[in-house]
Amino acid sequence: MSNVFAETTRPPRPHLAKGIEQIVPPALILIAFVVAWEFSSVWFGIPKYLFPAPSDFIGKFVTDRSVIAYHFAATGYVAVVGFAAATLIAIPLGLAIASYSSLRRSLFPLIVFFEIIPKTITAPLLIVWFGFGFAPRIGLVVIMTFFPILVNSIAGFSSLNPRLHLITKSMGANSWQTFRFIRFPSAMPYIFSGMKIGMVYAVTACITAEFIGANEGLEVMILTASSYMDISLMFAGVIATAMLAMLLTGMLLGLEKAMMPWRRDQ
Amino acid sequence: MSELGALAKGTVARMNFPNIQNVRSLNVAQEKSGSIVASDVSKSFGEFEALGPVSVEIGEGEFVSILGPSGCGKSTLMLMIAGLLKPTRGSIAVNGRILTKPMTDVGIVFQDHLLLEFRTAFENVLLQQEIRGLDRAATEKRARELFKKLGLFGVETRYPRQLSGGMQQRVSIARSLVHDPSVLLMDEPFGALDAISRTQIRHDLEMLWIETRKSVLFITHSIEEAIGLSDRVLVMSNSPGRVVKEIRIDLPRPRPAYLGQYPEFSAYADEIYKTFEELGVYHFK
Repeated sequence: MSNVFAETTRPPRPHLAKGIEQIVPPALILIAFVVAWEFSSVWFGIPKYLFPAPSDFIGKFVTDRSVIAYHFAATGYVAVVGFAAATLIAIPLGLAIASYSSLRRSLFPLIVFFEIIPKTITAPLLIVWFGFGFAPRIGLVVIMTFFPILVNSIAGFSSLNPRLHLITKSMGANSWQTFRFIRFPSAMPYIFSGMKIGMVYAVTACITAEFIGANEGLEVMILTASSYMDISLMFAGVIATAMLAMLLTGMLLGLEKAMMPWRRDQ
Repeated sequence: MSELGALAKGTVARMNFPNIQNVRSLNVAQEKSGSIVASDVSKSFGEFEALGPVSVEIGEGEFVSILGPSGCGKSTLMLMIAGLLKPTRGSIAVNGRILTKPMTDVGIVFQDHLLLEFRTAFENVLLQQEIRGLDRAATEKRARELFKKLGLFGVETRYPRQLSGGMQQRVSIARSLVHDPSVLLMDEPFGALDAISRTQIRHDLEMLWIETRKSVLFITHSIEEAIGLSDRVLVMSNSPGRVVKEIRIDLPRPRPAYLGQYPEFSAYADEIYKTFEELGVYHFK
């Protein structure tokens, strides 16, 4: 845990050199991958209408940018709203379950039961209940992201060293102060791990829901493109989805860094 | 020797204590003096008797150590004095008032530093200000002074995991003093440190104490530490612990690193070792 060498002053390391060291190798691998993909159709003789090279669909981001942006925004909206709703329900519930052992005992079988169900099964039901709008898709995102955040929140709020209460009690802390200064920050690393898992599920849930029935969204765009055999637009949709997932996860990582400065360079 | 044996078995409850009733009535008049009177407190956890009836009195501005073997209930006694654990029997009075909830005019240092990993060293100390609603600027000033006196230089913005064990414990001591409590409770604060750090931190603590004269209850297994710091040393028996001996330490302050230069030190140490032998803590052939 404790770093005994931390007291000696570290030799100053230029941030630039460190940055280059971190960025260059993965960038090289990425470039090599794209180049290999580009030439694979030539090398292996794969027809372009089945497996286009990056140069074939990268132009789609210019020519079809308004279509891609529209569907990107729709999928992003569903993912963000569903994820936020799941987080806002899961964290307080996790706190309640961690705080009251009777609640934990009585709710646990139910949580295990719902957690073990493949969540996508509920999608047709959600469409029956909520129709074809944004609502059933947001519902599926909530259902899929809720459990990892809940389970991690329970673990986080249960992880507190009970001896820390000796310190807060002797300071005369009330329960709100104990929560704000001790319990919540202690649980934060766990909650963020749950949220990071949840964010990956959120995008998956959006795409799944759009597959089953929707009027807009990246999967809708891909399905439409497939009916026209526009394979380049399909690939552009896949890349756009990956970019959406990366953007949302990146924002979450940024938030994590901002909120937990003590875990930087650990 | 037989008298000590009897004490250990609990047939004689108290020995070296002044009339506790008198002490209590004396202190009622004084507010915030930081005097503590524990009268016949005992603690059992179910069938297990952790601590014996014990009576301890700490006068205003007095440095009292409790020295005893592991598992004798020293830490239990300290938690009860802090109001963090309810005695099974007996009562504890602080400044003449019977304690019914956790004491707050107090600083506590435990063997495990109990710093918050998500706060920097300085923020850990300022937690006292945030929870107690003290004046920010004044507390920051005090915290800076304490850091200086405790030899904590340039670690304000470090997180606990980036500090050595000795540094962590110094930050913990700063946290226990920043709000200027009248009582300081320390439960084996240097127990996890190496011998060289211990000697330095012992001296630093003594210097701080000389300056502020807080009432201190210091729990330790180190005979050297007890003699090096205390006005009085209370020696406890094996579990369930009882106070079997009180030794008044008459050495000038500040006391040096090497206490062996005082002939009195050897006499005190010898007395403590003999007591432990008579109690059966040690078996020397």
